[in-house]
Amino acid sequence: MQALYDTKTLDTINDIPEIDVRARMAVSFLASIVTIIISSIEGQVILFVASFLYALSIRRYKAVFIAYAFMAIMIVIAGLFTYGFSLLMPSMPFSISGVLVPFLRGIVMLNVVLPLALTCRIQALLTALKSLRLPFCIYIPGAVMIRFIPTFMNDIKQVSETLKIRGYNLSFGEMFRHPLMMLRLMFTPLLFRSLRTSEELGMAAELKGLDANSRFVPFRETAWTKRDTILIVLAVFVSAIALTYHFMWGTIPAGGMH
Amino acid sequence: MIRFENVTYTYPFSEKPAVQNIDLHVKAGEIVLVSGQSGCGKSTLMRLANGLCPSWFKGKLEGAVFIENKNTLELPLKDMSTIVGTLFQDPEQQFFALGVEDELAFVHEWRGLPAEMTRTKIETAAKNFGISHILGQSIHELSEGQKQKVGLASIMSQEPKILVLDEPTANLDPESTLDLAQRLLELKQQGLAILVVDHRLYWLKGIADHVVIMKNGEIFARGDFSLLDDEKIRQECNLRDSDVEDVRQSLPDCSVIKREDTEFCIEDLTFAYKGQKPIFSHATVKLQKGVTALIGDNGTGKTTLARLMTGLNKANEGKFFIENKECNAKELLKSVGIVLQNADHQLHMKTVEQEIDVCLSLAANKEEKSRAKDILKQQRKQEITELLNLFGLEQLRMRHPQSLSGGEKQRLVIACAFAKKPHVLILDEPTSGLDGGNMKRIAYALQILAERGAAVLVITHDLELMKRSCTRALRLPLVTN
Amino acid sequence: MTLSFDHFSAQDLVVIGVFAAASKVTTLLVALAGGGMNPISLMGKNLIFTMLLVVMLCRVNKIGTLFLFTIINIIVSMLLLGASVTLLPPLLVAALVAELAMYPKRESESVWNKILGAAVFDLVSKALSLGLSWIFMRENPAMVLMVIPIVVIGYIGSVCGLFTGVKAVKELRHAGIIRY
Repeated sequence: MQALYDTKTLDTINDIPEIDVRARMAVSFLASIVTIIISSIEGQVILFVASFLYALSIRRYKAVFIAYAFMAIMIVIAGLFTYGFSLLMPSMPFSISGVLVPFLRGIVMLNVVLPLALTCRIQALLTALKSLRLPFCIYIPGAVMIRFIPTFMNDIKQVSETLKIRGYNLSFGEMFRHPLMMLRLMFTPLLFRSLRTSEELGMAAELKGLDANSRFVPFRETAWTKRDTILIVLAVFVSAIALTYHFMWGTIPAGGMH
Repeated sequence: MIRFENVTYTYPFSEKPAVQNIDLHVKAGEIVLVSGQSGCGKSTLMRLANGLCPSWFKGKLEGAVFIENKNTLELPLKDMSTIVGTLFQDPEQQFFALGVEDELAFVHEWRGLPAEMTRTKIETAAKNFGISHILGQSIHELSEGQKQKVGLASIMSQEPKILVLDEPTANLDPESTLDLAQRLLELKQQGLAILVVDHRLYWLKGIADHVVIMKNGEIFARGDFSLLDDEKIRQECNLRDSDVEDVRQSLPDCSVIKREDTEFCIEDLTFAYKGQKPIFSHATVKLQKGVTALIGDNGTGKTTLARLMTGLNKANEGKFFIENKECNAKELLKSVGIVLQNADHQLHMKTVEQEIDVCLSLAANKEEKSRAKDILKQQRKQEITELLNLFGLEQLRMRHPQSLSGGEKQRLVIACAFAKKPHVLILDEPTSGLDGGNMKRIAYALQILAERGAAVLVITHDLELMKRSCTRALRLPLVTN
Repeated sequence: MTLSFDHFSAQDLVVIGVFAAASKVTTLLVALAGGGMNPISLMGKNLIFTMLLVVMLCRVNKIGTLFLFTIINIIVSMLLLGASVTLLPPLLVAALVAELAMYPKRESESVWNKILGAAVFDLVSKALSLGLSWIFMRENPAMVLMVIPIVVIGYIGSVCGLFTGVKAVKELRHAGIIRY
């Protein structure tokens, strides 16, 4: 137990394996395609196991757990709905295996996007964006978008606090009764702020001499390491196994459409 | 370096020229200060100097502006940007990155500079401006003074020959302001031509070589800094003072107020953000009727105290009293008003009139609401007119609040807070970026509120406002009992 | 119509980025505030998105704005929220179709052209996302039926957003921020 509080151990726990964001995006892309193609339970299970290990590799167990809890709620709701529906319409019978494949598909997707979402600090996001070597016209708006997400979050918080001080009731019930008024109160300042911000930042961009012919040289390289290559190779390998299994021996759930 | 030759400029969609018959010369190694009341055309002057007018704003330019002997009409903005560096009032608005180091690198990366050179430039700039220790920080964690330094360092790393500054001190505390003055002096000695547009004047005493005062788009007067000592000119052009007394030390402290004389009081206040050291620990806050300045360095908890007082944050411990009656967070929210720094966030409606009307109806108590509709309407109308008159906004009644100027918006937000008839009103930097005339108007409004029996607490760096209207000071960090 | 974005100035690109941020933040917050799946927040977030879209299309009155906006939205959502790549094709197709619909009168100053674009974008992207959920849940058609009301309610919000968009543009003209 003591070992857990040892700083050295803590450091190794926090030492998330550094994987290039491009590799993570490639994995996510590959997994989405394969999981859509496969409609057998066995194939999905293989994908699920592999992607689950991948999600755990970021060592954010709590966050993964929370995401799974949310997913579970959705699954239960959807499951109940489907069951109820099968009672009303016997032509669409309820089968566990029939619900299982879509659910597994959803979980696989969740598993591959979690590492992207959880390892990317917003500040590192800009570096990630740079490493994608996007053209100027995509990089600039993308960078601006990332740059202003925290600002706008803060703005909305401030606006809602001002409203509270003025004496508005911001409860959910009120939102239900006067949705349009509430939207106006919350978002008019943001709309004007967006317009003004884009005006000022646009001027700043011009004054910094930015234009579409700019050639970009990053001052900090994010290097593609062997680890990234291994991740991709593994992903391809797992996909191949899952696909082979699906097409050779897969059991297709009854009642489905193909 | 910068030369205006009989320049007249008109914005598109406008018939009247924004500036007229301007002749101006800023030489290398010279600082020229341009001032004048809001809307006098000084921002346009700045935009003409850095090429935004007419390259960006379009519009019609007569006469000629020369930068390093090249006509700005023949110089694309991209080329101009290597000669002229511009620093805005709110440097954060011109940052493209979230980290300090990335921001400093941004321009060089996009100019295609080899990585090694970019790195050297960042290091040099950081060293020159004393910001090496914050390179790894996020821009959101910086104080206004630090943001300014990052903005300036980023510009100077591009080695411009001309520097244009747009109200650089509007958000700075007095110490950072003096620091900036020192930097500009150094840059001037290095041979830069510097054009400063600002409402605050005192900080450039002994540093500005030349002063230009504008009025209605024309140059009203010019001369050396002593020109600003002329009371008549300052009055006529709504300028701020050329010499400012720092009353932060001399204002009597709130701690000496007798308990029974307080309008607002917190006893035994303890507060800490989750997982952090307490900011206040068993402290006492006492406020009297009248205008009090809240004074303290960055990070001493000025904003936190304001939030606790309004009930936006909940204290870990502490008893709150208004007129010696204890009250809970909900009652606090009702009887304490706050005007935040960013006026834009506080305007929601379509007209100035509606904005105030909504605030009045939110503040109305049950007894008022129960009155007959037409009587209520009549009464409301009268109250709105009164408030508009008090703040000099009657001409703008039907205007869209977001189309107002900075000073007008600020007055409108304060008027809205007045509508609530608060016992305590907190204002966060109500006069930043305002000219002398608008600053005095706000000082006057605070006075009126104080005369009506409210305790007004002002968080401000504006020494002139402090001198003019504050009679006491609440100093942070609070002394623990 | 070409896929070159050279005609965008730095200013245009900044506007697109700022609006992408604003729409992401607002839709995210509305969804969070309402707990995600209740009809009011579903409608609300679509309404705001469409409204911002209309204002942005007015502000950057150029061919390809919507398409670029969509690309940026997708890339950043993927990086930031780990949004699934499968969202990509429906949105891109919707943006392309909407660009085509606006193309004949794209650079005119009429708001109606932008409304048309936003309307087509909403309709096509909603329809395609229904198609996508069918692919995802094809083993169990009953579940697709559950998605239909969610998409429809969202779409009603989008339609309301067209009207608020027109109103917002009018108000911005009144405030002197949009000049035509």
